[in-house]
Amino acid sequence: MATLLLVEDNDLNRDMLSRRLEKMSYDVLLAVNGQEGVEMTRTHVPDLVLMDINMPIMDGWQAVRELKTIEDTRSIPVIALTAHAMTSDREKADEMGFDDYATKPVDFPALVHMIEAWLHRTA
Amino acid sequence: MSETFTPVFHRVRTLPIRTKLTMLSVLVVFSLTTILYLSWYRDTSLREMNETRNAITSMDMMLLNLRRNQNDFVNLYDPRHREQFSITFEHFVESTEDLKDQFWALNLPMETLEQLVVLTSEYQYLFEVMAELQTTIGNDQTEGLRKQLSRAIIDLENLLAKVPNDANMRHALHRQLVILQLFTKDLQLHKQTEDVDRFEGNYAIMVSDVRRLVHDTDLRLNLIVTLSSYRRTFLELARAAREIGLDYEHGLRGQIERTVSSAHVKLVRLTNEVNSAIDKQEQNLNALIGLLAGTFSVAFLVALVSLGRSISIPIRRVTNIMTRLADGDLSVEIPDKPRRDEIGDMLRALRVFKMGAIIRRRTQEELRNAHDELEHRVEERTRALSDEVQERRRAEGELLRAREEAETANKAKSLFLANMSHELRTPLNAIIGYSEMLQEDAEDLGYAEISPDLDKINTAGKHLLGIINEILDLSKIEAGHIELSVEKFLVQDIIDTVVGTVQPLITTNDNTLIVDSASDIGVMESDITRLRQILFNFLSNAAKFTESGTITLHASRQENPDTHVDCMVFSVTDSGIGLDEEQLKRVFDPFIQADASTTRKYGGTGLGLTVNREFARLLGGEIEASSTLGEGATFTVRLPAIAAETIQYHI
Repeated sequence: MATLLLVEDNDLNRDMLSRRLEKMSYDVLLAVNGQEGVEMTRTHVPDLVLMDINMPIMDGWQAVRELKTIEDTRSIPVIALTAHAMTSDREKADEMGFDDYATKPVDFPALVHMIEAWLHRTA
Repeated sequence: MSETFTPVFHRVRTLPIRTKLTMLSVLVVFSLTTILYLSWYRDTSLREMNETRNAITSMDMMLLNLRRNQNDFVNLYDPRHREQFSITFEHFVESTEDLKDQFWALNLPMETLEQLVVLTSEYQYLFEVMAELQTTIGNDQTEGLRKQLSRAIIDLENLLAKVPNDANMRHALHRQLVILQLFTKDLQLHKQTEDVDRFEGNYAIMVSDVRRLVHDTDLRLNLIVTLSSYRRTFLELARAAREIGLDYEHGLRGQIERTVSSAHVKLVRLTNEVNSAIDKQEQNLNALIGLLAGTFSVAFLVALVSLGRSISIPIRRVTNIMTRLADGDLSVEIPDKPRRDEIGDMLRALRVFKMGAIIRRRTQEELRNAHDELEHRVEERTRALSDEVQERRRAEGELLRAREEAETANKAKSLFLANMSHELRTPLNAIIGYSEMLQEDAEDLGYAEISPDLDKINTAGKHLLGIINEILDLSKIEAGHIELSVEKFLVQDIIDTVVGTVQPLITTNDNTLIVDSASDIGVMESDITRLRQILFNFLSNAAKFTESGTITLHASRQENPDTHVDCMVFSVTDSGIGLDEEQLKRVFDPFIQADASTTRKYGGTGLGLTVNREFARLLGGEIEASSTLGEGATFTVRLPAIAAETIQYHI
């Protein structure tokens, strides 16, 4: 099955989401902030990254920018996870480099659907 | 006399200036015309007189001609001269007649002219007589005494030729004959009368010589007879010549000479008379012209000066009056004797002005008094008002300070709440998320019975999240931190989304949802998220408060009658429990549902409509509610189809 990287600073959210994803038969890697997220992406090269926005040390905006700049990680889809749901946020996410966008609290089935779509994209 | 004179005089003096100038011009024109006429007249009459004088001069010339003719006639005895004399004489007489007429016309004395006429007649008579005598004398060609003499001489010569050829004798006789001829010639040349005596002497000698020397008796007789006839003829010639006059002092010639002289003198005198007449005429007329010019000049100057004064003096007086009026002296007297000229008009105007000024002054004084009164009152009032204002301002200041404090507090509160959102949401998300996960685990592990309890936790968590969101929204609106994002979207899409989301709630209470929207409802530009929220709010409320009923969602495009702006109007009608008047009044107030029991029964945060109305207003629209208790309610949201013009970002 596919490997996902979950970058989330809140431990409850991290725990909740990773366990549910693992029940869906994904391999889930964890990072607690943006910096760790970038490093782990480079080293482990997951199939998809789920990135929280508000994080210490390096936030989601910075991290996705880095990931999209680095040659090796550019092609990995990065989905933003955020509490905001404004169009402007969506636009910003798009501009910053996120491939997709999901709001918290997470609509789990929809998220899975989104992940599957990205993993099986033709490109 | 002056009584009747003065009004007339006054009237003349106060004629309009225009009239006076016209009269002056007439005077000038008239005088100039008269002077010109007189000058012309003078020149004409002088010219006539000059012509007369010239006529006299030519008559003098004629006289000279006559004299010459007459002399030529006498001397040369050419009848042509006598003719010439007659012609010239006729001219002379004609001229005299003309002169008479002219003198008559010029009113000159006729005496001298009469005398000239007399002399002229005399001259004619004398000339005729002389001419006759001259004719008698004749010349060598014509018949006359001279011819006879010539013939006698020829006869004598012939006779002497017959004398026998004695040289002595013939010679002596010839000599005598020649002497006689000489005398004759002299006589013809009008020399002295002594020649007659000498002739007689010589004649006697010749006769004696003939008697002595000529022996032929017949011849002698013939000679003596011829000599005798020659002597007779000679004496006759001498007599005639003497009568004519052998020089210019004697005889007819002398008389003629004297007559002609007199005539000449008369002519001279006539010339003088004409000259003096000319001079007199010239003088008279020049004097007249001079007098006229002088009189006219004086009159003109006088008229001009008086005209000037008649204008300037009244004007000065008027100016004086005006100055005094202008200075404010309204007591000045304006003469009121009526005048019909321009000055009169000015005076009338001044009178009106003065009256006006007096009235104005009175009015001004009254006004000033009223003004002072008013000022005084205004001052009092102002003082009272300013005290009031000060008091008010102080109160205002206090109020402002209170408000500022409240606002600051409010802002602080909202900011606090907004910042709290993350802190609140995070544990809630955990509750919601874990409860869901546990539900999944329960079902997987076969503990399906505990799933409903877990579901309750999940629902409560979601409910709490909803409340928190609404509270945060409201506080954001109050704090002015709201963010709207406007985008274009198909209206049908939003309807579909909302309907899809709310469907479960509809079916829960066994309700039916009807969607009524035009297929070409098109596109609108607004905040899609908020609108979705509003519509979901309406529909979920309708679903909540209706059981086994009908819920209708209307969507249409309308034009706002007041602002003529295109609007989208969405309304949700239900056939539920409805609201009464009291409830309807407070339906949009925060945290007030119909009553506390309904909150428990029907759920909901109580904030939904409040928040949504604020969003609708922010987007430039409005939310309204209407209801009939027991029969249902209708909630309507009206938004501009294009929000950009009316929207307020980040207030």
